[in-house]
Amino acid sequence: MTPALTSTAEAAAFQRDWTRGLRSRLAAGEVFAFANADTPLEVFHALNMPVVVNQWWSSVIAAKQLSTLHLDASEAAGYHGRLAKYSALPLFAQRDPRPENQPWGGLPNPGLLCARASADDHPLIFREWARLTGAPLKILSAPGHPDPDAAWWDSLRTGWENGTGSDRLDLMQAEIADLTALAEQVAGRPTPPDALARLMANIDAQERLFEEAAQIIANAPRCPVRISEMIPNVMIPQWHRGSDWALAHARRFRDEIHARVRDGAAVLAEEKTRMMWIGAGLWFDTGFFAAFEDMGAVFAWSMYLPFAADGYLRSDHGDPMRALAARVIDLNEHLHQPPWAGAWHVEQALRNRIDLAVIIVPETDRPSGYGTNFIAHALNAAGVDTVLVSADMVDPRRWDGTTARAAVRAAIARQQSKKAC
Amino acid sequence: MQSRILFFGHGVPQHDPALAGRSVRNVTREHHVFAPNSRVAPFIEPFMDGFVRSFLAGLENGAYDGAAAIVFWRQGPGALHAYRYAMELRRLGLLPRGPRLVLWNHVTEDGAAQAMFNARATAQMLAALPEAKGDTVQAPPATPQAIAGKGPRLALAGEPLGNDVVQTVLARQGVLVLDLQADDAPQGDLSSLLAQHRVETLFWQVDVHDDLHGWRMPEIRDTCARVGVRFVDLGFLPRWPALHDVPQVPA
Repeated sequence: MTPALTSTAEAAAFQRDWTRGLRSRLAAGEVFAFANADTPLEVFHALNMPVVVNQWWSSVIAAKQLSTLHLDASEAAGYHGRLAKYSALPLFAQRDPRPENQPWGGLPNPGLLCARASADDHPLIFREWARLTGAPLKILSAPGHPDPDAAWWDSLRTGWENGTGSDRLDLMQAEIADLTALAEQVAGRPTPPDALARLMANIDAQERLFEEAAQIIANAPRCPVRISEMIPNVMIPQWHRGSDWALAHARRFRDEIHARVRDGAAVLAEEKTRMMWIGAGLWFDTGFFAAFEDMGAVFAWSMYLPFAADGYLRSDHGDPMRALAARVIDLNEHLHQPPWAGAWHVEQALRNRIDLAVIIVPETDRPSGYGTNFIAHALNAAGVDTVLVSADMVDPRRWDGTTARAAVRAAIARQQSKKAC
Repeated sequence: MQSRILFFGHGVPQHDPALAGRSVRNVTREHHVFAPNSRVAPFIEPFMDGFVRSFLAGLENGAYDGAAAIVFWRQGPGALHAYRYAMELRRLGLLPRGPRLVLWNHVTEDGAAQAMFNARATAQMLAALPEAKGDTVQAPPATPQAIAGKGPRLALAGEPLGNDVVQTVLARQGVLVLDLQADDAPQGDLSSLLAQHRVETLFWQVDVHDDLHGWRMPEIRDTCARVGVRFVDLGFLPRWPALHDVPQVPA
């Protein structure tokens, strides 16, 4: 059993303190934005406007075992049980005024709401937020790429103008400018000159540190850190990307991983099976990620760390807002839609010497559930075994952890038996 | 005669003047099922949007082979996934070559940039279509229509339906004066529409895998309560329901 990274506790403490501090900032008259993860958070960061990320807050609610309460209440209020949970749980929780039912006492109503129409239901969820809170809403359009290149992760770092299409970029850039104007109006102050350019430069440096960390982990003879530690160390800085703290934390994390590998530390003394977790986290049952270590099987990969580089590195070519548009234009789509998602997961599986992929299939979060069979097909074709697990990221009510664990254990046993032959 | 240009996607403006003179057909609500030996069916998640599933089955079955192009209306729920799946299935060699697949992007937010984008996207869509020479313009297929009857004045809302079975059931109980799930449904503020059509009861329904329309239900229910219209939730219905699927709820 490897000890927890120092970075992990630091990241958790930072985010807890930031959230508590947010409450006092709001009490002093500041407003905050509430936004989906695939929106240009950089607009708010450049303005020094607090922003809470919908999916992060959702994961916190679930991790604190509060989701059943709010999901049951949502159904009693008329939102049927097949609607998305991951992107809607904070909305449902917000309907409950009791602070004891909220993480850290909860949040007041946001001053601004922002989502991208990357899933058909996101505009509807956020319009419902706006209807219930009266907060101004910005929906960013998400026209589809007509002819996507399967191998997108390298070419888009610099060649994003051709790779994403100028018409779509023109639109996204204009909508980011509109979002900026709205945020400035709500905050009551302008974005400082060059703030976005400086932020984008810091983000570039931050994501390169995460890329180094991901490569150190991939190259290590045995996985040096659990994904339950990788995730907060990359995602908390990602929610504050470009800040001095985020950049410094990325460096601390990279250095700590490097030292751990140099010292020969590993999650398992004898690593027999390397697994990847595909999809968002199972936030109410994170123990699942360490549940197979007695079989010599370790989750060595989740999307969060490598995607920090592949999803976010976009050279600014002297135009930071257009580079930001290129970053967000297909951000979530790359992880789920064919042909992008299959090709990327295969590349990552091979780079990380993965034996078995476990794919979460959230049937009530359809845009995340769609495409999972294509991902499995691509991995199988590349020689990687797969297990599909039906689960919602934040809804424990229909989760059958016993059956899911048994399915993964059986797949591990098959894979180890095959290796032994 | 086969239509040369097929459209997929609820709400597609197939009568857009830019398409004047074209032989077009909206296939969104057509019903197809996968053959038992389908090579495509294993790729379709069980919770896939029913209209997308049906479309992909039709594509594999050759139902659209006579067409020159299939245009996917991005704004139609699930239509982008229909396009992505069709393209990927072809890339994997699981679908034979067939009509050209064309994505018609369109955004709904207001503004000059959005208007310019939409104009360019429509021009690109038209440029991707084969020449119109020889096209025979056909009338659009009938969509489920309000069926006349006697009794209370009814409205139907929720997710689009693939047939008119629900309307038939409702016609036994009253007059369906407002069909909000139809392709040609009137647009506008709900309370105004309810008043204009003197609706007495509104029936609501969605598919068991719905992840969109249900978001509007509490607001629609509350609006009905505010303006004195009875709201009846028929629950989850298949997109091509049979008579026995529709609960008997008095209007």
